[in-house]
Order: sequence, then structure tokens, then C-alpha cells
Amino acid sequence: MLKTRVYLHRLFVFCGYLAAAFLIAILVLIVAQVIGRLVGYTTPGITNYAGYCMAGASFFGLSYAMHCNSHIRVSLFLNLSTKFQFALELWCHLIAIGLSVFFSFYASKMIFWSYKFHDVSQGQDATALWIPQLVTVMGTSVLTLVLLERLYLLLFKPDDPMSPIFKAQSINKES
Amino acid sequence: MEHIELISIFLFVLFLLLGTGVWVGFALMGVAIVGIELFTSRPSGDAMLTAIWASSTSWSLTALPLFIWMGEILFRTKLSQDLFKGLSPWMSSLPGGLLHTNIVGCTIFAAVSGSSAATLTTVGKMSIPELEKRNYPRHLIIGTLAGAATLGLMIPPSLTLIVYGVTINESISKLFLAGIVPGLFLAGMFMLYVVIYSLVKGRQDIILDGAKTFKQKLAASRFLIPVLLLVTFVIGSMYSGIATATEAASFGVIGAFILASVQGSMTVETFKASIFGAVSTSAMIALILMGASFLSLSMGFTGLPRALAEWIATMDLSRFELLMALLVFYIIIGCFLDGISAVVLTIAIVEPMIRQAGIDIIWFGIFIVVVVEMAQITPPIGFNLFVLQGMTGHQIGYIARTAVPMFLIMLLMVFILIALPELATWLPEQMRSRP
Repeated sequence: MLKTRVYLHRLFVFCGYLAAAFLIAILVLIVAQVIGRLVGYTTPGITNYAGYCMAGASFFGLSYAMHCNSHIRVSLFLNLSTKFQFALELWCHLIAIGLSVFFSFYASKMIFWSYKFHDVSQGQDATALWIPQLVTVMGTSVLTLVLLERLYLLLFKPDDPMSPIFKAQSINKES
Repeated sequence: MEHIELISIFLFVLFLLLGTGVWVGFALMGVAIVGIELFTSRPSGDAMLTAIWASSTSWSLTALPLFIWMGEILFRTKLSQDLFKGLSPWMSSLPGGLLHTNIVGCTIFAAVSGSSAATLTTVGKMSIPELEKRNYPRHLIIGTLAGAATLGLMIPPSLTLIVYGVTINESISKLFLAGIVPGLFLAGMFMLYVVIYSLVKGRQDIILDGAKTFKQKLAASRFLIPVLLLVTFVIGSMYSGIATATEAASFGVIGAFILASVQGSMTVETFKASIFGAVSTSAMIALILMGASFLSLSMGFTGLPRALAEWIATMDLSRFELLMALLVFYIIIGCFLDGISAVVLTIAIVEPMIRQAGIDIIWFGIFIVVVVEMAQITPPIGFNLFVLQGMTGHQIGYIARTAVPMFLIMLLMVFILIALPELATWLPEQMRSRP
């Protein structure tokens, strides 16, 4: 199990790197657009490509951010008691996993139909939409993995430093 | 009204999910699915993907990670150390002395970073120990810091304003320009408070630094000047219309990168730390925006926002009464949610009301930002209070009490904004009139 978790951790950090690469790509595209405009060369479709990179950065960033515990939630009642907290965390993780799987399922469906009907972007880029849309499935699938790992730790290894319960308690101690 | 059942179910599911600690973005998606499944015959899964794909690929949204990245780079330079050293010689002769470094420091850092937590940590880290060493009253040190740090949300680049602009489809540049004058005005009122307080109470046992000549002052702040130039350039490029908000943000990132390299604080480690910080903050906001875009589609299907707007219209509220109702509403919501979540969660409902009442939507953006700023320093969930608690070790209650005067100043600001809407609308109109 330990080995699996090492690989998972690498996967999540890798997603962080992918998101970072998309962020750099946004910067490069926009700078290219500005330079293009200055020398009088129009760059059609760049705004669309930047939009796809934005989606890439967001969806790959989702799992990385969840792995680093940086998503926002109302923690008012999470800190009441350990037992209560366990129940709430369980409920939150089940809901999040459900929604994440639901999302991946319908994202696959969207991509399938985009591919089947040769959907192209309505912008000047005329990209075949299924290609950028792939990030939705990939990102949310990894997000599901992060959540499953957290659920596993919650149920079986509550004392692990990465477990949701341990995290919440250490935040309480800090403050 | 016939929508009462719809509203109560939406609210019940929303409070249930948010209250039990479900991540805000997921909670909004959950409510959206329940709404579609119960009240319409449309398939929720396909609607979800359509809404979320469209909103995640929005061009104007790309300004968000770039501005976060710019702040993350400058956050890791020597800026935070220089902020106190560079400002204190200029402030020491004012009544209230170095307390003003808190306010001016926050104002400057707010122009670098779009978040109030980052502003608070950067400025507080340096100024709290220095001010305590000089015997400034504790409650004033903490109170001014808590209040002034909220300027991070108002002075451009402001993450809350980007999110607001993206959700209502308005120009982010205009919103940024609208935030400048009210932001500076609010900073001025904070400073005025410190001046009046210290004139009334008199200087107690504050240790003064030796006076410095103009040249020495300039030398102490030589590192601040490039940062100020960068900020002016970023905002100026939007104002003059040479660049869109996203383009200005990319100038900002490159400028910050150059500044950090010249200063010698740009290593591979800080570069990685800055970009990963940007990735995780912008993904956090992206999840909330995904949930919010789906929820507003879902509510749109049910016809609730339009119905509510019409219902409000039949009540014949004056503009002032409507704004007062919204003020109370947002202060309450802000007690439990962070600013960005509060804005995206409510805007689908509030936007039609505002447009119906003929209120300027840019002006309303500034109004909403002042109100969610106030919420940052109100218990039980005031984000700045938590950050300050972590930094100083004081109880939340104590910190909240020290921030009460700042809260009242912001409340006054809300009424000034209502009385003088030009504070917010004048600057963007200047831009509008340009070719």
C-alpha cells in the first residue's frame, strides 16, 4: 500500500506540473498576441487557445490543490469533536467522490459526442473540441483518486499526516 | 409567491452541504443537480458539462491565474522587508506615526496582490514586531492591520473583482479602475482615524526613530520605487486601453519576474514555489466558479432569479432600501463564507434585481466588495481574523474587537459610496470615453 501511495503522490504532483505548464502556456500565448499586434500580425484564435490552457490549468490543478488541502470549505462544525468530525469528513468525501465520478462520466459522454459529430470550436481557431475537452475527464479522474486516497486514510489510517482528520487537527493546533 | 417551495429546497440543500463542510465548489454543484432534477425535466449531467466547460474556457478568466502568479512572485521577493523599512521614514512625522506603515503598506501590497490574506501576512510579518518594539498600542497595531488588509480585495488587481467581472460578463479593466478611487479613499479614512485617535489620546510612551534627511528617506525606499512603477504600469496599460486585463496581467508577471531577478531573489526554488502557489490558488477558485456557473444555469432553468427580481420590483423598494437590504444580506452571508464564494453564490439571483432597479453594475461591484471586505473582519468566520490569530496568538474575540472601528469606517464607506457613486464610476467613464 505504501508503494501505491508513493506512486499516487507522484501522480498528483505531476498533475501540478501539468497545470503549471498550462499556466506558462497562457503567459506565452498572451505575450505572443501582444507582440503580434505590435508588429501588425493578427493572431486569430489565440484567445481560444488561452481559454483551453485555462481549462487545462484548472482541471489538472484541481487534484493538486485537493492533495495540498487548499480547497475552501466551511469548517465551523468540523472542529467540534473528533467523532463528529469523522462522520462529517466521511459524508463530505462520499459526496465529493460521487460528484467527481458523476462529472467524469458526463465529461466522457461530452467528449464522445464531440468526437463522433466532429464538433469544432465556433471561434477562429476551429479546433476539434474533443481534444481540449480531454482535460475535463483526466483532471476529474485524478481528483477522484485524491479523494479516494483521503477516504482510505480517513477510514484506516486516521493518524497518518495526510489523513483529513490529522490535517484538520493540526490546523486547529496551529491557530 | 409560488416559488416559495423552490427557494426553501434550494436554501435547505445549500445550507446542509455548506454547513457540513462540503467543499464550496462541490456544494454548489450538488445544489444545482438537486434543483435540475426536482424542478425541470432536463438532464442534469449534460447541462453540468455544458455550463462548466463554457465557463472554464473563458478568455477573461485567464487574468485570474496570471494576477495570482504576479502576486506570488513579488510575495517571495524582499518586498515585504522593504515595505516597512522604506515606508517608516516617511510616516514617522505624521500623528499616529508608524501605525500608518500598516495602512500604506497594505495599500501598496494590495496593488501587487489580489488577496487580502497575502496582504495581511506580508505586511504584518514585518510591521507587528517593529511596532511592538516601539510601544505602539497593541489594539491599534492589530486593528489597523486587520482593516487595511481588506484593501487587497478592492485595489486592483483584485481577485474578487475578476471573479465578479467574469460571472456577470463585464469588463474587468473597468471594474479594476472603479476600485482605485474608493480603495484609496478608504485607506485615507483609515489613516484619518489613526491621526484623530492619536491627537485625542496623545502620544504615550512611543519610542521614536531618529529623523532622517530627504536623501536618507529616498535611499531607504529605493526598493519600493520599482514595485510602484510596475504597479502603475500594469494599471496604466489598462486605463489607456493599450492592454486588456489579461494582457496587463501578463506584463505584471514578466515585470515581477524581472524585478525579482534583479534583486537576486529569483531562484529555481522560488520560481517553482510561486507557480505552484498560483496553480493551487487558482484551481481553488476555479472549483468554486465551476460550481457557481452550473448553479446559475440550474437556477436559470427554474426561472427563480427572474421571478425574484420581479417580486422585488413589485415591492416598490427605493434604490436605497434595496441596497440596505442587500447590505444586511451580504454581511450575514459574509460571516460564514469567504468573499469570492459569497459573490459567485449570490450573483445569479442578485444581478437581475440590480439591473431591474437600474443600478450601475460596475458601481455595484465596488459596493459588494466593500461589504464582503467588512465580512473579512467579522466573527465567526472572518478570514483576516484567523490569519491574525495565527500571527499574533491572540483570541479571535480580542482581534475582532480591535477591528470594530475599522468595521465602522467601512460601513461609513458604504454610505459614502451610495451618496457619491461617482467615486467608483468616474474613472472607468474616463476610460470609456477614449477611442
